[in-house]
Amino acid sequence: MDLLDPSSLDAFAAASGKPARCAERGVAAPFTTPLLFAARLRLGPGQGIEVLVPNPSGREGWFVLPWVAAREALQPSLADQALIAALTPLVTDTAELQPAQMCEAARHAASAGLAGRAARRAASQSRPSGAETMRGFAQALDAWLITCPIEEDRRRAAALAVRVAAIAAAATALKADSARQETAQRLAWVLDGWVLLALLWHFSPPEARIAVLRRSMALAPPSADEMRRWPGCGDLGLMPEAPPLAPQTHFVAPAICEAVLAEWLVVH
Amino acid sequence: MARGPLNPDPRILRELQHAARQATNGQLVRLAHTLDGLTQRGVAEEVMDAVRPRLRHLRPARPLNLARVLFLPLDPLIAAPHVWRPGQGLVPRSAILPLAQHLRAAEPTLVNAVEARICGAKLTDEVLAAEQGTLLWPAALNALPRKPPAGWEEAGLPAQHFPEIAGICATLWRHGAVLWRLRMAGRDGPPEASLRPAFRVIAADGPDAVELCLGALLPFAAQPACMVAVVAGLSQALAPPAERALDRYLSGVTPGLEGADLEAMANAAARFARTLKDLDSALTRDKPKRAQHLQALRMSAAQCCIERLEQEMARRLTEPLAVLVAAPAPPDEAVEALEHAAMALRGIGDSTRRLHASGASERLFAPVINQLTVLAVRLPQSGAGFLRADALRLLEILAGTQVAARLG
Repeated sequence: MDLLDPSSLDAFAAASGKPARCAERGVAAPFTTPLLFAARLRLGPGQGIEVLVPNPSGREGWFVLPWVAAREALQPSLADQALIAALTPLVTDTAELQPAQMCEAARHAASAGLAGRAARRAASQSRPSGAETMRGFAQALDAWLITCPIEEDRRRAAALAVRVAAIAAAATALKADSARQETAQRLAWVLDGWVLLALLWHFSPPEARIAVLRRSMALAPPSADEMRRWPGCGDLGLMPEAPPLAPQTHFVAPAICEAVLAEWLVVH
Repeated sequence: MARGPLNPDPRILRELQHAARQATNGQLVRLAHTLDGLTQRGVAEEVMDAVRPRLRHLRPARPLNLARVLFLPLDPLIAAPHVWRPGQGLVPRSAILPLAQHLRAAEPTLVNAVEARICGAKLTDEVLAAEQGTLLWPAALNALPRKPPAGWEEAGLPAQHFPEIAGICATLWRHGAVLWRLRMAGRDGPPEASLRPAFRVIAADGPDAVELCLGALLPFAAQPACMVAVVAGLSQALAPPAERALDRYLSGVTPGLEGADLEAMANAAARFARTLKDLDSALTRDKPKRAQHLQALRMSAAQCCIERLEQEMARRLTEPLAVLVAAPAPPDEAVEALEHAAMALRGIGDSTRRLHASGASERLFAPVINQLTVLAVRLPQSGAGFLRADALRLLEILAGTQVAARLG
């Protein structure tokens, strides 16, 4: 993947790193274009879809782009364009984009086959296991950081593992009561974006792990203030210090993003 | 010198090397596995010298053993005995066995403990290799003899070259742990923040140590020229050894694209194109030979890619595509295998363009892109057969999203 010229995004606004509400944070999209992978979507003024992408310079923060601009600048795959096409009618009459709508749109788009046959098969499967996925991710990070040869990345992995463990704990607490619609929605928000990162880690080859770790640090969804008031979610505000990131030249291949999408459809 | 297990008849050795070159990938992996089981590997190593570039791509699971762990930091500095010459900063492979045996005799308890720990492990277990290496390397440094160890001359090594070879080993073992960490620093290579302090310590051992350590690291660096620039920038005295290390690295660098399977070749070609782009930054007016050499490498790698595309385009893409289109219900695995082949071929094509800006590779893709353009319009959107979405995905892989989107 070529490095995006950070200055090409300078014209766009920056998103808040500490959103008050989940809807302001946006919903992570299972895009298959590496530059857009796990970018967040939300409804902007006039109900247009906005895309939030991490600052490609490596500096902290997210850029907010109208989808039309993102399509021009980041060249989404056919599968990603199909996802937005499936999402658009679902959000026409709603005030806020929800994780459930993203899931529905992703299933619909995947069933058309543009994200590959594995995603098409997965579109009709569902074995929800987000909390277990997060626990596995935290354990995998803990095991990997011992072997990491670079001190800064060890500290990044440790910081990410703390956040992932907090997500797993919150998801477990919410899952106990997820029969209630309100709690099920909260569970979806807590896990949103994180399952994509867990699966990205799982599907990435060992030699890509450092690049994936750095990208995951940039993509990690910030916790919205409202989340921390939910039962069992008080620790979601944990933000351990981690070294700043450098611009990334390589990330993962689109085939890895497609494998993540297929599994994401299954665990949702 | 008497012929024996360590000094075979050159004619027999040539025949064995020829046979190894003719072997299929599967046969070669089996051969490597069989030879790994030998206790005396002297001749085996010389046979394998003939096919090392292919083995690098095939990556057979080699067992971890004492000698492999001990000489891990020296990996790129090991030379086949018949090409080794004094004064080149290299260690002949035939020196490995006597030095490893010497360590076994000098530190039996440690060696037994390490061998027990690595028993059954593979070289791909880099964590275990590093863990045991950090125990062995300082011990080997301390145990290094002042005169040639037992078995030195029997391995065909003249005694007068021992001090030079021992000096190289000593330097690399002394800095083995830090070099290993830098080598394992991921695809983007070691960050400057790690490189600077490491080479400040190495520099205390003198310019030769800097040159040797850089020589051992450069083949693993994502950006070798940048690495050299960082080290050369540490002090004026380090610039000459850093430049010498780069020249030596450049003289040995090869595309190494032969013999790999399609995906491995696509990855290797992409990596090589990126490396050459980085090496362009090392071109200065007083280094015209470097420019010539890089251009020759670029042309040879591009030619290798073109030849591979010519060989594989029909076998891996157009012929299987015709089979899938005609099949009433092609299995998902077959469609996915075709996509993987298309991605690898596209990757090789992209690298060819980066290596040598010509339209040669694109001309090879044109017929299948035209065929897919027709199929993407004609094929059904649903059903059990090869679908419109399948054709569009192949088109996206081979011609890009914009071309596919016009039909989507």
